[in-house]
Amino acid sequence: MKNQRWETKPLDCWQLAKEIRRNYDKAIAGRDSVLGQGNTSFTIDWQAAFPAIRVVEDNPVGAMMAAQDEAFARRARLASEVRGWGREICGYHNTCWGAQFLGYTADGKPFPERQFTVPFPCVCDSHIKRGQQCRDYKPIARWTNDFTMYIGERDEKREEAMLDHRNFNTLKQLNEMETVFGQKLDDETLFELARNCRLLKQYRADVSYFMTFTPAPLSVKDLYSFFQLGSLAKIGPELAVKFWKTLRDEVEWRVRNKIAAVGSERFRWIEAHPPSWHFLKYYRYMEQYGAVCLGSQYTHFSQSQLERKPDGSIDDREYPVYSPDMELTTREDVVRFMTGPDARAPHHFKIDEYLRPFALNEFADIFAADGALFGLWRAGVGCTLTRKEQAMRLRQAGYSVMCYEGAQSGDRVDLDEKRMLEQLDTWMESLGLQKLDE
Amino acid sequence: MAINFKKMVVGRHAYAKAWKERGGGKILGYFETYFPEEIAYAAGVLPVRILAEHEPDLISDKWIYGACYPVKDMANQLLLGRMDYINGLVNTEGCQWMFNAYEVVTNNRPGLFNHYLFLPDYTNSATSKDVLRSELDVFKTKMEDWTGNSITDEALDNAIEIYNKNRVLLRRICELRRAQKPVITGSEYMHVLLADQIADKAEMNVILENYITELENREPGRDTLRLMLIGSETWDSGLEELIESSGGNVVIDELDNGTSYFWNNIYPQKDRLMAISLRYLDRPHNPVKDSNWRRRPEHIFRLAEDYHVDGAIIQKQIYCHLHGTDNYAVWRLFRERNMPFHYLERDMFVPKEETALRIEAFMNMLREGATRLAGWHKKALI
Amino acid sequence: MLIAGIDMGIENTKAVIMKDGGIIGRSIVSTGGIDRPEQARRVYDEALNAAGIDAGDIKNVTATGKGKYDIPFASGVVSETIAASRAARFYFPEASGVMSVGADETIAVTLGDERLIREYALNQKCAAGIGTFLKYLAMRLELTETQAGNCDGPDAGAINEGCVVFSELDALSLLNNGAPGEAIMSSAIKAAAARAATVYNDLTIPPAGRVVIMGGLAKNRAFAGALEKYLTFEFLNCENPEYCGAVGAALSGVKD
Repeated sequence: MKNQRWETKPLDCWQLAKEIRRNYDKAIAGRDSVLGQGNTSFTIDWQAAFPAIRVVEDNPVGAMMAAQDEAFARRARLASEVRGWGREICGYHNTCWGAQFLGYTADGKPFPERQFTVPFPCVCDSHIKRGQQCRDYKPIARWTNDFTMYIGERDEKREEAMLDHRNFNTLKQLNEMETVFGQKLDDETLFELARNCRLLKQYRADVSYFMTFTPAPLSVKDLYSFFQLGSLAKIGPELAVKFWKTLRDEVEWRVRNKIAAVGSERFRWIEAHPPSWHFLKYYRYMEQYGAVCLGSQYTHFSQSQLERKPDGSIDDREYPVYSPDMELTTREDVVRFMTGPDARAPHHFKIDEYLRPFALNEFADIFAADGALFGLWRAGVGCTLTRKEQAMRLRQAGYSVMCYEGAQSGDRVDLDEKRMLEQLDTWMESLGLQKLDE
Repeated sequence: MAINFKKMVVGRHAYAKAWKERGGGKILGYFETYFPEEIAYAAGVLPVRILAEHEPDLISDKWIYGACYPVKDMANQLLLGRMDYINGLVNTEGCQWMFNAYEVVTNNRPGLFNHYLFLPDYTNSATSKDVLRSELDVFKTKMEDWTGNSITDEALDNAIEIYNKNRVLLRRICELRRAQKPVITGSEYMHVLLADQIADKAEMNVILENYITELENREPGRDTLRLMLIGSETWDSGLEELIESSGGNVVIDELDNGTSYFWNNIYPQKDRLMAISLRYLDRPHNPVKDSNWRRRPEHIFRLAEDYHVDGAIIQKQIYCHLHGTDNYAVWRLFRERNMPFHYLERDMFVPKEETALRIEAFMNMLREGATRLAGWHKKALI
Repeated sequence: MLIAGIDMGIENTKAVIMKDGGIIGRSIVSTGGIDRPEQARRVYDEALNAAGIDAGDIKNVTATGKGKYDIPFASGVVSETIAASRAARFYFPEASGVMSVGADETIAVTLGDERLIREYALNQKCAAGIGTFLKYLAMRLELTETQAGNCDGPDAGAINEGCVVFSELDALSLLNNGAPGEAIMSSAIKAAAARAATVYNDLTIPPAGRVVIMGGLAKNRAFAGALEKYLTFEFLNCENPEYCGAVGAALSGVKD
């Protein structure tokens, strides 16, 4: 592989990202809200249409705790396990729930009391059950819903039945929340949120597309930092759109001028699903070899998906979407918009692998990758499902693939960090790559 | 002559091949007990459960990571061609590891007929029955296309009747276990259930009727400690036998391939598919389908009371993530209601010495009577 | 040119001194616990003595194995997979693959043409410690290393091959039920070989025959035989397979 030096330069929009983050923290601190557990949505931040409803998700909470304090994470995990929660369930949950059982968080503050739980329909068996935990803990309001899936070509009959099922339950949830908490859901705000959502989606798709170029204009750590802004951590729709527009424009400029995130880029690799959040240093470690991570379907596809077109070009994959001009006049319209016309959405980034045995081959091809690095999670069924098979198919196509083992990306229990770094050395050495400072 | 159900299970491949030769019908392998067998049966197809067993597994690691050993074994068997007589595979949404095995096999055998059937995890929403009915309709059409047989109302009625009868017969045998000295042991009963899942139900019904006659003429069994078995599917009777050799008896279970497989019936209605839909949504659920308000712990406790158990064994296959999400609730309920239980993890193999030691210790504790009245639960964490 | 390689494994540390492509000295010691650097020095000195040369004459000392960073005087390190592959090519230039089974780690390699390694596979964590398991089981069954290596006769029944902890429980069950030690060892060896075979089966481009077996378990005749049966081919055998890692390390210290 060629040893080439690319020009590199820090990202300008980092300042804006940091400002947004600070503002978000301030906004949360000052907001007197009814706090719930769950996920708002991958599309529309419906909670923003209630006067004082706030939803937090266990995934980032658990991952942050594990990253902040190993001793606390182990204590929390144990508190969950001794009560019967299995070792095999997702580390995000065991850590977060363990903290709830302990009554305090990693920084010693009381564990925030949840007053309701809303569904996060998910392909992952472990995630499906999480709405039960905080209801087991304390009698609080609770709603649920389904994740729908089928294999094979799009089938309108199946789509209609599945979407009816999901929309009915989403609408029921929103209506009942008004009654239970005595808060009026503002439909006008919902419509506005829906309109902003479309813009955000396209900007994010553009950023993903620019990552297919060599040299990669962003590092994966940039991507993971920005990924939260406007998706899981809601920051206000207009600001999110502004940020992603700024980022998109800057990344395009970097691509046109061949500005690299990593100047020594000579080996490009993809991942699948989240990394070990507490051990992101392996990205920098790999840069010593000139190896650059381009992200994963998790990084790129929570909002969009690319595909190689018959003429060889790369463009958005064509999923059924509602027209941008779709009339939104009732709450039911917005609910339909939120769910979308595709019963297998929004988890395309996960179920893509379930539906297509060569999903990651296409991903590697689109991002011009040389190899792939996969975490095999002993306790993350949804993430690990099909991973080995996808790795096999990549190898069969000539990509170099390394797998490492751990409990789960939000769980530091059995990730052997030293072993992982040694395996990375083996991987690079087997490809004839040495560290560039040697 | 006494029927040997264990032999039926061991000889299941020969049985399936012979069935095929007799009638020339197609055989459909299925993973989850949520599979609505009635529809396939109405098309003249024999649904056969993929049962895990143990043989040295050299290849599933190549395709699957992190699954429990039974699932890996299912993939191993199917990839090695141990069930080459099956004409198709179907997976009903449930355990994701089983889905993984289904994917690996169907991806490796592209010509094999296959179908994935969505069954809501939110089983009791107002719309759950409708979405499942729609899925059943899709599957019905697919079966018709595959077999060339039209699934008429009469064929569905016949299948429902045969399956309902089968479930009633299994329940009748199960009810015999309520006796103080049951005529059937837990290990015998597990083999009846496993045999039932690989057999043509019409043939099985005849066998079961004869078996009931045989049981009714049996001398009463032993008056022993009465145990309940809960948790991951077990696939064999190793634990039951271990309990029996320690002087106990499993008188009831709550396993997906145990009583949950047959516990409720289809109540016929004009819309046959809706009737089937309601049956599968109303059955005792495994942890993944019990994802709304928890019903499973109460069902377990009710069985424990109805079958007068002295204690429960909760066993989990290593890497069974699903039961890892339910044990909390089951343990808590048992503790609140003074039901002694012992929890253990296992593999496809039951490590005999270690497991026997644990079970004997638990049973000694029960014999000492130190549980129900001692208020030990007050020391529990929850 | 004089070069040295040290392979510090979980159980044993091996050192070789090589001159112009030939091995002129070697030694093996127990890796020990916290005194690993001392053990490395000891095995190195013993190998130098055996070769009859001074440390100052050695151009490179390259370390490999799990303890490779615990050898303070090593001039470089190389990963076990690379070392094993170099050793295979050294002993058998026509080799197309490697199967290395040691106390802790199992490695399968398909050797390449342009690149030394075309593809490799490592054991999963739950398949680690195969060699250590068999060693300690033999001790418990009061079998010598040689006796254990001859246990290829009838077995005492199936033993779990998925997990060493469960395997040990199964073996103890058999022992408590009065099964003969040799038969239990035979069961355990078959289970261990089955698990090692899964690593080989991870390769998408398996080497067509001509696979060199190395590592401590290559000396266990019954294990190697059971593995051959599972993989349905015969291995190429080196004279001292436990030293292959050290040989490969020594050769890796020389820039191509």
